[in-house]
Amino acid sequence: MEKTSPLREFFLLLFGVIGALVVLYMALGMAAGFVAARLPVSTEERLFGFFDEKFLISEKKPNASQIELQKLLDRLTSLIPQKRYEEYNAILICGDEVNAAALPGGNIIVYEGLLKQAESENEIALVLAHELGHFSNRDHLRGLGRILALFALSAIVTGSSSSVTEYLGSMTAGAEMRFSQKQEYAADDYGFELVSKLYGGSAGTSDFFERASSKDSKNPLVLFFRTHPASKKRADRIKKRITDEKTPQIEKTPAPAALKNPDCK
Amino acid sequence: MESLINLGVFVFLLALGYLAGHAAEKKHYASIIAREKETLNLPAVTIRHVEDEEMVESAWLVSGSVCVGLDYFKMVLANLRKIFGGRVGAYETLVDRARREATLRMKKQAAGADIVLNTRYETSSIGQNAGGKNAVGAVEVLAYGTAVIYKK
Repeated sequence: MEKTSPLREFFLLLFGVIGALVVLYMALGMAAGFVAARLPVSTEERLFGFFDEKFLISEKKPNASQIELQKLLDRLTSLIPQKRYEEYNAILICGDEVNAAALPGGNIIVYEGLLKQAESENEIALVLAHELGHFSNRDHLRGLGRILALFALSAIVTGSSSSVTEYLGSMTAGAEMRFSQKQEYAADDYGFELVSKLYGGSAGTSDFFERASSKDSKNPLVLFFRTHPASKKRADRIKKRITDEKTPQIEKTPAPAALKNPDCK
Repeated sequence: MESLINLGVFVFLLALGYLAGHAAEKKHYASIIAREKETLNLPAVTIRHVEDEEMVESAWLVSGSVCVGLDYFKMVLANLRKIFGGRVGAYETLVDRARREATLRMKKQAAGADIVLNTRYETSSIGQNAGGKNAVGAVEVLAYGTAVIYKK
């Protein structure tokens, strides 16, 4: 018998498969980006209508917190020169995560935890405006397109009920979209400009990231795998803009009580 | 979290399959080679008939069968190989071991004989259909022939 090293063979084949998948994934990601930049809003709403019907509308409770959040978003969107969507929805979701996400169809979900820790309305406005920046750049579609591509690939290669596919499915369900650093910075810039326009000044715009950076893990492995760029970097970028552009000094607007103590039920 | 556990189980089974399977194969080959040397004086051939039946003192049927299981690592390796095509080395050693072991067991039944005539092999796979798609299979090899003692 000719001697073969099974381990060597195994890794060779494994890397071959992974390499081919990476190439395919990148190609699909580029295709998703290409489509995302050209997808008409009507098609987007048709494709991702299930977000509205199954997930978001049922989450949207007409209580004081929800109404305040929507009001703040409406004030921001009234400043957008060219709106992509007829209406933008802010949806408050229960959970201690300090997070928000932009979903197709002009929907922004905000976790209760984010509102609880916010110290001013300006800060919440920046988060909402940041997500509006993702809409403006269509990042939310690119992100979803890539995740769907990954999901489809995994289902083909490992089977639809495999652990890998399930893992990716849980990622999609959590709406954890990976944006690149570049996309995040662009959305930060968009948010910064919109909030400065709303309040006539940039006070409070870096607060959110400064607070987040104090809670950032110092573990280099965690930093490497995190989806968002380090909060410290983002806070520094915004602070640099504040000093560089000499934006007017204004008082921070306190957050309304309904947002300070959010009722997500 | 659950899916991470599943991934962990997969990697664990893979490592366990490799270590245990590798050790078992090494041990088995050592044993096969040693026993083949011991039984060199008893040839097993494929000739069907003795030319002169008068020469035969006695003859009887001998058989030896063996079932060798696939380990998890070999299964995954073979599945990967199925994507690219080519020699499935992981299965080759498995079948080789099974065939040689079956021959040795057949020869054990033929102890005292001068020769084993008309040696044949049958191979079948076991367990792949019984336990669903992801079942770890096994290969069965049956070797049989006619043991013959010549008149002295």
